[in-house]
Amino acid sequence: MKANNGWTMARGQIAWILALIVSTAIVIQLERLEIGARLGSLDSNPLAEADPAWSQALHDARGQTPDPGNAAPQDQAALLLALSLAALQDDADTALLAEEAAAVIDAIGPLAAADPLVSDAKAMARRVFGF
Amino acid sequence: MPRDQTCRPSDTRFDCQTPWSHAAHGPVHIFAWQFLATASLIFGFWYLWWRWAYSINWDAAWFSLPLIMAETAAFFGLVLFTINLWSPRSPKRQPAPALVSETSDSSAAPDRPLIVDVFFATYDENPELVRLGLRDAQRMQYPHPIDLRIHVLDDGRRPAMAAVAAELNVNYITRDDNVGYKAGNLRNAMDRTVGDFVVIFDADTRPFPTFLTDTLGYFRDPKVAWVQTPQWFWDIPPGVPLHAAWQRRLGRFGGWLGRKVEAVIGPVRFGEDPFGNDPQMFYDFIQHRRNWANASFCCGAGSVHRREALMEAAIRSWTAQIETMSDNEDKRISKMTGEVALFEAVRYTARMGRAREIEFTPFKLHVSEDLYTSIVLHSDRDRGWKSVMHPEVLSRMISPTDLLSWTIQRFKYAGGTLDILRNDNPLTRRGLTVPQKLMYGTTFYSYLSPLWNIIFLIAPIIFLFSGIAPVATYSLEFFLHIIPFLLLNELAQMVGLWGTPVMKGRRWYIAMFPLTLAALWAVVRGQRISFTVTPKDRASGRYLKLVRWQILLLVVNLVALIYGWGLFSQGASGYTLGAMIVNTFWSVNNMMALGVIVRAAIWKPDPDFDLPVMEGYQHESK
Repeated sequence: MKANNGWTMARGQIAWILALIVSTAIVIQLERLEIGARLGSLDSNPLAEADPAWSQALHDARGQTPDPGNAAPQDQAALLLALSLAALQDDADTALLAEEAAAVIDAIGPLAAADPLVSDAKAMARRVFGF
Repeated sequence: MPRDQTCRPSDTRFDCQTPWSHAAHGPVHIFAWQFLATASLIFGFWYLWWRWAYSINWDAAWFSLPLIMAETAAFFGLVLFTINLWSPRSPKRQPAPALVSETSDSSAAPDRPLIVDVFFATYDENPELVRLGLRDAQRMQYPHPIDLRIHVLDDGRRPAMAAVAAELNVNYITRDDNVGYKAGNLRNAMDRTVGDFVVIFDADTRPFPTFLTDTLGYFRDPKVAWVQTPQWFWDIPPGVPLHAAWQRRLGRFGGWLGRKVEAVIGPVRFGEDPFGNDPQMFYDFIQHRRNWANASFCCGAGSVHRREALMEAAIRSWTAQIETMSDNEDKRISKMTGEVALFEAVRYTARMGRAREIEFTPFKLHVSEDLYTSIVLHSDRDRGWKSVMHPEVLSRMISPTDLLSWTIQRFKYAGGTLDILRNDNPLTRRGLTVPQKLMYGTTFYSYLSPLWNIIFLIAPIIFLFSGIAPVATYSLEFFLHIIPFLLLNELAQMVGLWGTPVMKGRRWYIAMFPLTLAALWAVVRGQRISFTVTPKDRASGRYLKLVRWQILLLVVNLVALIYGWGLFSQGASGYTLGAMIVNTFWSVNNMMALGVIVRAAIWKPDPDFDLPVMEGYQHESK
C-alpha cells in the first residue's frame, strides 16, 4: 500500500469528521447564544407582572449588581438570594437561574466570600440549586 | 490501459488494473485501532444507556422507541464488527510441499508428488472467456514436480466449450442434468477426479502463476481444510479524472485547475467503481481478520480444498442426515404401532432406504454452497478442520458492470445467507466454537441491517415534516453524549480499516436496503432462493425501476428539507436551530448514501477512460 493511498482512501471519513466537528461547534455556539438571548429576555420578564414580589426583587438585584465581581458584599448576597427565591417558583427556568447563580458565585472574590452574609447567601444558593 | 504499462502518479489502481496490496498493519497501528475501538464502544454504551434512561421522548413514543431500538441494534452490529476486525493474527505461510506425506499426519500418506485438480465451473459463459482462464491455469508454476489436472466443468453441455477444452488439452466434464446447480456440478467433478487438492475457479477466473506456490504451503498443517484467496475484479471502471472532466467543460484552464486540485487532495474520479464492486474491505479486512478465530469462510472461486476434508465432512453430514431421518421415522412408527422398540431388522431396512434417498455430496446443494460447506467443515469438532484466508490477490476475475447483474448477484448472496440462517442456523449448531459462532453471526446479522437502516433513513424525514423530535430534547446534553461516540467510532474505523475506502462501503450498505429487505422477506415466507448465474456480459440500459425506493426516499428527503427549513424560518414550534442542523446533517448523509445506487442505475461507461479497462478481457481474447 502506497503511503498516500491510505490518506486518499480516508478522505471521505476525514470530511465526515470535519463536518461533524463544525456542525457540533455551531450547535454549541447557538446554545450559548440562545442562553444569552434568554438571559436578556429575563430582564424584561413578563412574569414580573404575574408575581411582582419575587420577580421584581430579582429585577432590582440585577439592576443594582451589573458587575457581581466588583459589587458590594450585600449586593452580591441580595442577588444570590433573589436568584434562589426565583428558582423556587413553580414556573421558573431553574437551569438558566442555576447557570446565573454559578456565574455570580464564581465572580465573587476571596475577600467578599469571607463576608458572613455572602457566605450564607452562597450556602442558600448551593442548597437551592444543588451545586 | 494495458496491464503492463507503467502507471502515472495520478492514476488509481483501477486505471493500472493492479490489485490492492494487503494492508499489513504493524503492532502500533493495531494497538491504536484496538484502543480507539474500545473507547468507541465504551462511549457508545454510555450514550445508549443515557438514551434509554433519560432521552426517550415519551410524548412521541411511536417514533422515539423504534429509533432507539434501531440504534441499539446497530450498536450490537458494531460490537460484532469490532470483534471481527480485532486482530490480524493469521497462520504463517510455509514453503510449498513437495510430497503428499508433507501435508498429512497419517503414516499411510504416500511419498509422491501432489495431484491437484483445477476445476473451472461454467454454465453459459463465453467459451473464449473460459479459454483465458484455462491458459493462465496451464501457466501456473510450482517449485516441485506436481501433477496438475485441469478440468472444465460444463453444465451447459456445449460443443464449443468442449472444443476449447480439447484444443487446450484439458479435461472436459459434463453431466446429463443440472441438479444442485454449481454445487451439483462440483460434486459431479469430485466423483470423477482423484486429486489430493481441488482448486475451484469460476468461468471468468484467471489465476496468477504463483497461485499454487503461495497457497499449498498452508496445507503442511494437516488440519487445514481449505485456503481462500481474495477475489479481485480487474475490470472495475476507473472513472473520469477530475482534470479530464473539467478540461472537457472548461478547456485547458479546467484541466490545469483540476490537476492543481488533485495535487492537493489526491486523485478524484467521477464514476469510479460505480457499483461498489471492489471487494478489498471484505477480503482484506473482514475475511482476513477472521483467521484468528479460524472462521474465514469459503467464497467459491479462488479457493483450494483438501479433498480428504471435503469427502470426510460429506460422509459425516450424510450419515448424520440418515440418523436424524431414521430416528424421526422410528418415533413416528412407534407412535403409530404402539411398539416401543422396533425390530432391528426393520430399522436396518429403513435406514438403508434413507441412505439411498439422501444424496451424498461434498458440496451442500445450496445457492450459498460455499458458505454452507464452510459451516459444515468448521462444525466438525472431531477433526478440527481449519480454514485460512490468504491475504494477497492471486487471481483476477470480472465483475457485474450493470445494475441488473449486480442486483442478481447481491440478491443471491443475501438470500442464500439468510436461508441458511433460517433453515440451519449455525448459531445453534453443535461443533462450532464461540468465536466461530460470533464470526458467522456477524455475517448473518449484517443481512438483517435493513430492519434498522430503514428507520435511520426515515427518522430525519419525520422530524422535518412534523417537528417532532425522537429524543426528549436536542440539548447540549444530547450532543455531549453522542458526539464523543460518533467521533471515536469514525476515528476507530479510519485507523482500523486504513487503506480501504470505508465511506463508500458504508453508503452501499445503506443504499441496498430494499434488496436485502426483499431477500429477507423471501426467506421469511419460505420462498426458494434460486441459483441464477451472474451475467458476465454488460447489459446496457437504465435501471431506474430497480432503484425506485431509493429515488422516492431521495425526493422525500429533499422535500422534507425544504419544508422543514421553511417552517423553521417562520419560527414554528419544535423547529429549533440545533435540531435543524442535526437533522439536516443526517438527511444529507442519507441522501449521499442513496445517491450511489441511483447514480449506478443511470451510469454509462466513459468511452475514453472506462471502456478500455472494462473490455480488457475482450482485447486479450482476440
